[in-house]
Amino acid sequence: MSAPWICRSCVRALRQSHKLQIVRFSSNDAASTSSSLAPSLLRRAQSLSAEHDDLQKSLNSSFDAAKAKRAGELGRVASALRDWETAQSSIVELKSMAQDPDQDPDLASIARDELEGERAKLELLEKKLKESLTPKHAFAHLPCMVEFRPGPGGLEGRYFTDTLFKMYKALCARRGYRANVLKYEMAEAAGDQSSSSGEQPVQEAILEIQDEGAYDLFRGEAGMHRVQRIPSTESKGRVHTSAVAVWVLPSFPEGGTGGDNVDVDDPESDFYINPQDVKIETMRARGAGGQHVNKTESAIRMTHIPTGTVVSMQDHRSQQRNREDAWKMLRSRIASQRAEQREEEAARLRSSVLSQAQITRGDKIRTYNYNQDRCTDHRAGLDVHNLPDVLEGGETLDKIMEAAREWLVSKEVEMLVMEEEAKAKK
Amino acid sequence: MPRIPPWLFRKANRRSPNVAALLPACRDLQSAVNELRWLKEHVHGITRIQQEGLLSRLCRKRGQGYPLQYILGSQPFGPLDIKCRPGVLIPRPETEAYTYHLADLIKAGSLGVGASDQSLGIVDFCTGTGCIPLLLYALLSRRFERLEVLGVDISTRAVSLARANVAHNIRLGHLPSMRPNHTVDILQGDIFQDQILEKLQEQTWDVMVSNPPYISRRAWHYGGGQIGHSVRKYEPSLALVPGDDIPIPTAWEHEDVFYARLLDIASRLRPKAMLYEIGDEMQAVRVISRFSQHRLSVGSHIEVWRDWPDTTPSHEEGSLLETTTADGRSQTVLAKGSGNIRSIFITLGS
Repeated sequence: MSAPWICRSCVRALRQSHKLQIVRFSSNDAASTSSSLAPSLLRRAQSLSAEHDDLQKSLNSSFDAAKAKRAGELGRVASALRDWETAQSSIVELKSMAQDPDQDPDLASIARDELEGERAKLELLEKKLKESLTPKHAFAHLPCMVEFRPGPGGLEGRYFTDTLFKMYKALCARRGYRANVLKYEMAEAAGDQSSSSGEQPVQEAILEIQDEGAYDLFRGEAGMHRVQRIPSTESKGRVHTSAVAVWVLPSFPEGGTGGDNVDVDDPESDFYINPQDVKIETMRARGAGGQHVNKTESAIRMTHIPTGTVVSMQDHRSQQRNREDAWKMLRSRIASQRAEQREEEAARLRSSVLSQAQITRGDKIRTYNYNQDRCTDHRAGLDVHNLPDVLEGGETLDKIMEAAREWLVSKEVEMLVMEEEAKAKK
Repeated sequence: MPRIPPWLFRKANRRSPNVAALLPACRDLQSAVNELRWLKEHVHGITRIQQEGLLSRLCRKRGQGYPLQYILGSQPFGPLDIKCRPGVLIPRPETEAYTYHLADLIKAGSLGVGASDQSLGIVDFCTGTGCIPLLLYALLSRRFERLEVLGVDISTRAVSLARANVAHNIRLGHLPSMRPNHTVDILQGDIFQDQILEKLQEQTWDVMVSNPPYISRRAWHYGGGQIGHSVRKYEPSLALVPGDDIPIPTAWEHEDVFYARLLDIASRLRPKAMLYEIGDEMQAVRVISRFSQHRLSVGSHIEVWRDWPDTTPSHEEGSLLETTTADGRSQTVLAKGSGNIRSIFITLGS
């Protein structure tokens, strides 16, 4: 059997794609970092750093838990600012050395070389300083739930939902996160079939990542994920495009560990739900029960009446377990809705320019293109190749997730700058 | 029972022949799919070879009505994993629901039991797999300094299974390991004999629970659409229908004889609260009416619980149950939760 003919450049491209990662940053805001720190930000950093020093002084004389906590938060800013300032001053010094006409020409050229290196370092430190200034997300320390739902369309979207679900599950396994499948439900009409690559027609899947801080790691993944490939169901070899919605919800740690925790019974908490507002339905209310019958039906449905949020669970054989899972899910959804509402409100209060960074659920954030062996994050403007590694939750996926997170942080920095400037104008 | 429409079989067959095989027992597609998943997990857990053949064999067996819990060998019950074997009644979700509710009431201290001295004794008659005492133990052991839980059953099969369940759940870590003053015991004995009572009277029992046989001979033999096929064919009648040789006290029905006996036992053990599972509303009305004549009823408080005691009832389900006392007066009793009337809860006056 002779191998099918493949053009030479394609062969080369295929061979290389395994060895080297072609990473392209297209021209967008993620790549073009502003060269100098906004003066308003610098002022903010200086004032926070001063506050940190004051706190530190008072802590040396007497200990206070609240002050220590605040100092710990500000410590990040203070050290970042210190590093930045030293780099800044060394640049000034080097500059004067390089430009001084009385200087030895050898020394001047060395200074020029070093200046290059220092400038690059300064840029990095600037970024760090900015990041340290952005306040942490309110849910950042929490575990999370990742919810997968196929977009409108047929079987193909459902199959890809399964692939995405497995991708994140593999990522968790590789990085050693504690992941727990809360729900893994097949489409009703699709049958017991699976695609040629073993994908199941998933209707809805929920993955819970129980590690603290998982919300912060995964929040950049929320949005529409688009796939472009030739489906296994396609007979004419046409490329189809479908979409999968991925939602990331904060979850509350079980058992309550750690310091500033979420208390689900506290009416002030985002996770609080008044039990009176929830309608619980079991699916076996009709007919005789008790000893008369032995049904294995364990499905449960909960409706949060004020918001109309519905959660149903039937994965586990124990109704009690399904009930607990449903409560957990309902709490997370409500908390996420409340936080979203708050963010919207805040965005409305600020100028309209600022609200652009808001990621709404409808936005396409990523494309997985099988034919081009490519995965693109549209927000960060990052292309990576070696799609199989991405879908196996490999290190290439880390790269994309990292870029998406960086983009999120840079957006938050921008918001901060604008806010500070607006404050300064007043 | 309505027959399963042919289109549903065709639909199930399109999904997989296994789903279609399960359909006669499950009766709807969603639960057939769920059961197939659980069976798959089970088969995957025990063997790696001959999976397909074994799976389809089990699906056919289940489809003929053989209980899923006997195939899988277990039934989750709250945080516990309760082993199930033929010859012992399978724990029902309603039982799980009222046991949770009882534990919540005890924990909240609203029964006035164990509030001051941090000590509690619970006895469960007709314990079967031991699910009720084990779950109560699991839920309450942290709350009490001294906790004594006892299950009693007449069947030697049930007693050995219940003991196996205690060991099994301790091994799995679902039951907190025994501390001094914390015990779970399973005792073999016939509650219609007085020897066992003499033994029990040596201790104080604060709470008495029972899920006795309560199905009438009529319903058992002629069905009338009430008894599930799988239950009648594969589950032990000993646990479901009161035996023919039990003497019936005057004015009691045959299917209620266990309640008559349980009330007599209660008057000797003097618990502070009693919880009995019952078959339906009519039986609840009958038992409450007989109870009103009993000498225990002085200063007592009765309520009935529906299938799911802690959910809100729907519109057609009243929150009160009309009963009549033996001398013809009408009496209303609080009915908690939603679903069918499932249990009677009585707190006794001291």
